[in-house]
Amino acid sequence: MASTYTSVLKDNVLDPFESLLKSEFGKIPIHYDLEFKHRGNFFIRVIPTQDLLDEFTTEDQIRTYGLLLRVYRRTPGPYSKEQSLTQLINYIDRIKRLIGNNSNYRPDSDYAWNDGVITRVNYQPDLEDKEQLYQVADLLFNCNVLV
Amino acid sequence: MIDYNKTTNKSVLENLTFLIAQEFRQNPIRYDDNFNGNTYFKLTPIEDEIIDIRTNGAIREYTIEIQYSERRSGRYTRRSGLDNRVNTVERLKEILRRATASIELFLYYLTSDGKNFLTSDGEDILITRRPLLITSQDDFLITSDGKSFAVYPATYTYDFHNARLESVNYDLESERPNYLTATAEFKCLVEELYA
Repeated sequence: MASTYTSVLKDNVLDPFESLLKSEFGKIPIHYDLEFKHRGNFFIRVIPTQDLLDEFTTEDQIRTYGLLLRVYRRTPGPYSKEQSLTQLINYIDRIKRLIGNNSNYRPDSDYAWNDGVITRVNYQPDLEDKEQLYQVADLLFNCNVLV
Repeated sequence: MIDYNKTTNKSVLENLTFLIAQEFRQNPIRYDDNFNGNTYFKLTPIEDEIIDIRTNGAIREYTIEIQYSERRSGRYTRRSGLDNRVNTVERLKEILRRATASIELFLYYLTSDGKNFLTSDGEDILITRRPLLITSQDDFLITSDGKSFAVYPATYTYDFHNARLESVNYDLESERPNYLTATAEFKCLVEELYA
């Protein structure tokens, strides 16, 4: 008989994270592509990067999960600071604050994670040729989940 | 929509732009390479990283790349190719050393005998680093009677602290062959409160 288990990465991290972003940013396209695909002028690609045992007891464990968020933005016309840079970095600051406000996240009183934080933002990530059309920033999200 | 601070742009990038623009008034400040003048600075946000998480806030370290470019002219010599870059970077280091804590303020001022300051053009006054004062039109402020001044009320808006140029590289090769460049890494800490 198969054991009962909880898909922690899905139930505690990916699904709540996506719904948190969508509650703030509306219908923002969020994709989980391993390989880059053109998905429009503005979208986020989420890649799970880490699932690490932090503390272990006989009854439970605390695991640290990590997600890489790659934000893609394409603006028409010639380069301008406002269009091509300011709007992207303001958007990133808004995500950082959203996670900061919800570092211990309990949607509808159900525990999702604690100590959620955007640990690093990289405005100059390495890009494939196909990604060069976009302004791109990488965000690393980390959180702890009591399993 | 949540309330949030545009920290990267307002506190760091615009503030750094302001500090450089004040000192190097002849050099345009760009955020891309689409420029063909003789000299310019290019600012590029590189990263920000969490340093400390507080109960209701965070301290983050921001990194901005500052690239100084000057057009090549004639044969490369120390005088034509290096000295000016070195002097520019050393001057940049000095203004950032003096502005390790950046304070910005639009408020009222009183002289030591209680009279209000007035600017000749009615513009706001901006403190870059006490006691250096300039108006928002980049004019320096001089008191007519040589009296000292006090800030009232004595509150400041905070932008960043612990600012420094971490590393400087006098590039041997440039992405734009017509230009000689020096690239410096600017870092600063920003404490943000979520309340």
